[in-house]
Amino acid sequence: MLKIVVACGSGVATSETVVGSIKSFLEEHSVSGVEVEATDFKQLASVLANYDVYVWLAKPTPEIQEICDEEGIPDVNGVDLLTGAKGDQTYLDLVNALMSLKNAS
Amino acid sequence: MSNYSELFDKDLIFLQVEANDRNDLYQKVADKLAEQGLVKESFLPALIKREDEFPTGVITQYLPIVLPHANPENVNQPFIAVVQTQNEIRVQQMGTNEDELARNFFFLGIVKETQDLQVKLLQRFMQLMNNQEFVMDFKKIDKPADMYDYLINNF
Repeated sequence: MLKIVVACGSGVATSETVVGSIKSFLEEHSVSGVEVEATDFKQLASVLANYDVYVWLAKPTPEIQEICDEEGIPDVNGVDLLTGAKGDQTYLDLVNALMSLKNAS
Repeated sequence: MSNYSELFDKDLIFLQVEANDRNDLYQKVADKLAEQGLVKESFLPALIKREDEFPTGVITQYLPIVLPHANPENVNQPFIAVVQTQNEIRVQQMGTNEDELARNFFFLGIVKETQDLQVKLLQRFMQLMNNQEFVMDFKKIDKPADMYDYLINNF
């Protein structure tokens, strides 16, 4: 089971929206075994190590970046996922992040 | 017309708003929201603090927009306020904190109870922002009543 965490400032609006978009995307492509959760930035540092991929909607702080580096957690720009403005390319970074983990395991 | 289009309100559409800068605009909008009892006194300082820390400017394909919102505890009732300014206002972008100039603001009043509905609205909203035709027409509207009709017919 791979776990994705999406974090915005309060964990109520944009992060939940991106969680919904990622879930729809995974379903449409018949991807199973991936959990997607939203959190707020305050809690992020304490929970981040439990996840495999970090989708950010707020600029990662040095503390967060350090956890990602130490734990080998790939980070993905969530603003692209929110806007969907990149069309077919929108989910490319996320898919690449998931694939890199799959290959590593 | 969908459930979530009920979140739009004729009295919460403000076009050609004059504002010097971001905080001036947020003050003006917060006053209007407070007049209608939608937000608590803590709303404005909470909004400004949150925007400083976690900016909400988003450059969509056809339009730079801003989605200002404060944490739910500062909001009495869910709402979405549609605000267009006369001049471009400097804000920061979500995720990267880079500068953005925007005239279109969508203030989101989020409360826990209707969170699901508002998330659906935001998803639909982002879909529409990638629709060139929708955005071009949206930009041309200059009357609040027309804007209201346009929004509820498209959501």
